[in-house]
Amino acid sequence: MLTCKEVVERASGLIDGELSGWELWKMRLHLFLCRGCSHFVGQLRQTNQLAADCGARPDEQERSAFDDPGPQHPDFLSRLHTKAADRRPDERKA
Amino acid sequence: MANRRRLDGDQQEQRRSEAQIVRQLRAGSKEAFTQLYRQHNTTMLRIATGIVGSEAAGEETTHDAWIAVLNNIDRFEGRSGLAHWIYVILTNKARSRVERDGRAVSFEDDGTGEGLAAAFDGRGRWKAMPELWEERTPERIVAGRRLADHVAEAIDALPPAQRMVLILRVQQGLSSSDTAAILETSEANVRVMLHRARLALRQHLERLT
Ligand SMILES: [Zn+2]
Repeated sequence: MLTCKEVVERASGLIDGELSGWELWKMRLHLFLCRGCSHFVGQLRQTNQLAADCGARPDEQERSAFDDPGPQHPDFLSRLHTKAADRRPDERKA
Repeated sequence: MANRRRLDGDQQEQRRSEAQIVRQLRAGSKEAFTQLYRQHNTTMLRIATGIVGSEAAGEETTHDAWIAVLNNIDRFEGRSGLAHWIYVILTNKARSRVERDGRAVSFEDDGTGEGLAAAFDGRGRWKAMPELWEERTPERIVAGRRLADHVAEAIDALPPAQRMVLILRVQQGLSSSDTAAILETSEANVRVMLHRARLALRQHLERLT
């Protein structure tokens, strides 16, 4: 039987679907029997979802740069394109 | 290559729209570029700033990376996915910048993370059981601000390596192996850093209630 401490150490593996077989079974058993750990894993999932949502939300500044081009937006895209057209492809291949 | 054949529907969809964006970019479409820019620029700024250490230098680096993306789009082969390719260009630019400034750059685990060691007794059991959280949505107001703002603040406060792993893995949805390749570290290290980042964010959210 895993200890609560060991469950916490493996919690990200569980969330990311990286556990399998015996490891996964031991986790499920512990979570079934231990309310504290089951709450903890729920908290970590919520935390992860909030972090994901937070990245999906377009940044305030970014939105204004496109929908409301003010003086702080001296046609960045055009400048980029002009630069790109001027240059020879000399960049190191990624 | 076996990986290729196992792509699920979503990924295939994503590859298709990616191929379309790449075609449009090669044809010089401003709309395609705008779409790509909106999708990645904020994340790129965060990553670049995390590496080079100042917002101004982060902006310059991101700008240079965009130019490199446009200049090299003809050479993009689609093996690794567009996002991966863009972040490799960005982190390479950021690294050269840091090296030019005579500093060292490392994405090895920089976490001093207090972790949860103190939460357990000698036999590895909770001293105080975690409680059930009620549903937390980004728009909920907690301690006077939206939860999303609290989370964004907590992410900004993470050590740079943990922050980058969280952005790439959780927010951009890249795999552990892609993230490890971009940050030039091991997958095991990526997993450790992601776990620490989540623990730190959870702790931050726990304190809010
Ligand atoms: Zn437990």
